[in-house]
Amino acid sequence: MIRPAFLALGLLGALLAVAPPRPGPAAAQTVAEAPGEARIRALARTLRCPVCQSESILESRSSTAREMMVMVREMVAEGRSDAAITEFFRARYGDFVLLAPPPTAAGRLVWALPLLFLAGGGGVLALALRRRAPAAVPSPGRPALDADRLRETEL
Amino acid sequence: MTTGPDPAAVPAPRSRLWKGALVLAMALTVGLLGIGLTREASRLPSALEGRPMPSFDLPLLDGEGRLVSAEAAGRPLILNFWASWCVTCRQEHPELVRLGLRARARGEFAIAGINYRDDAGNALRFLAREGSFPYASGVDPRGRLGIDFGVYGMPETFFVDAAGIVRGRHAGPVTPAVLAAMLPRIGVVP
Repeated sequence: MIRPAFLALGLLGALLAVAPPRPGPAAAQTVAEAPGEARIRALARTLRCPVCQSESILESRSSTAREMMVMVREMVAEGRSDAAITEFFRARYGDFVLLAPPPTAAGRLVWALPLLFLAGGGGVLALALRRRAPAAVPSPGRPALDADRLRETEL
Repeated sequence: MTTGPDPAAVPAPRSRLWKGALVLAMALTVGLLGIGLTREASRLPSALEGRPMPSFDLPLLDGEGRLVSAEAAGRPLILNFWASWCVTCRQEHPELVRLGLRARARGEFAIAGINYRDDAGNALRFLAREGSFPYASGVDPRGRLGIDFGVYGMPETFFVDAAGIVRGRHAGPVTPAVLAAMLPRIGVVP
C-alpha cells in the first residue's frame, strides 16, 4: 500500500522537476543578442502599439505591432537614425505613437495641476487653522473643529 | 450672552463658502471625468489630414493588374480599408456599393478598396456573400499600407481631394451622415 503512494509522489516530483521550461525573455535576449538588438529594443520600447492600450510595440503581440517591429528592424538595417525612425511613425500616427509624447502647454498644465491643488489646499488649510486656533481653545466648539479637520484631511 | 451669537455668526458664512468650494470642486471633477470618459480614444485626428496621400502600388484582390495611387490623380479619391474578419465592414457594405455605383455612373470621383490583413480566399468569400464592390480592391496582406495611412482598426475610410491631399479620415462604418460631412471636403456634392 505504501509503494504506490511513494511511486505517485515520485512521479509528481519528476513532473515538477521537468515543469515546462518557460521561455523567459532574459534567456531569449542572451541567445539572440545581435549587435543592433539592444538599440532596436530601446527604440521599440518608446513606440506605442496603435491598436493596443498603452503597450509598446516591443511588448505587444498584435500583428500590427509585430509588423512595426519588422519595419523598425528594416530601417535600422538601412542605417536610419532613431530620430528618423521615430519620425517615420509619428508622421503616420501622430504623437499618439510616442509613449512619451513631447511636452505641450496643455500637457504641462495637466501634470502641474495636482501640485497646484496640493499647494493651494495646503495654503487654505494653514490659513484656516491659524484663524481658528485661538478661538478653539476657550470655546466649547472643539468637536466641530475636529470634525472639520478630519474632513479636510480626508479631502 | 455676548459670546453666544459671535461663534454662530462667524462660522456660518465661512462654512457656506467651504461647502460651495467643495461642491464646485466635485462638480468640476465629475465634469472632467465625464469629458474624459465620453471622448472616444479611437477617434483620434489623423496625422495625415492636410498632407499628401501616401502612394501605393498593390496587386488586385480579384483579377490581373494593380491598384496604383497615381491613377487617381486629378480626381477626388475615396479609399476604404476593409477586411473579411471585420464585422462593421459588413454594416457599411451596402453604402459603399451605392457609392461605387455612383462613382461609376458619374465619374466625378474615384473609389477604391484596400483589403487589409486578410486572406484572399476569405475576402473573396466575403464579397460573394455580401456582393462585389463596383470598384477594385488592392491587397495589403501585411498591413504595410495601413501603417503608411496610420490605420488603427477596421474599417477606415480616407477622403482625398483632387490635388492628392488627405482631407478626412473616418474610423468606423461609412453612413450617409459620414458622407454628407466628408464629401464636401473633397469637393464632391453629397
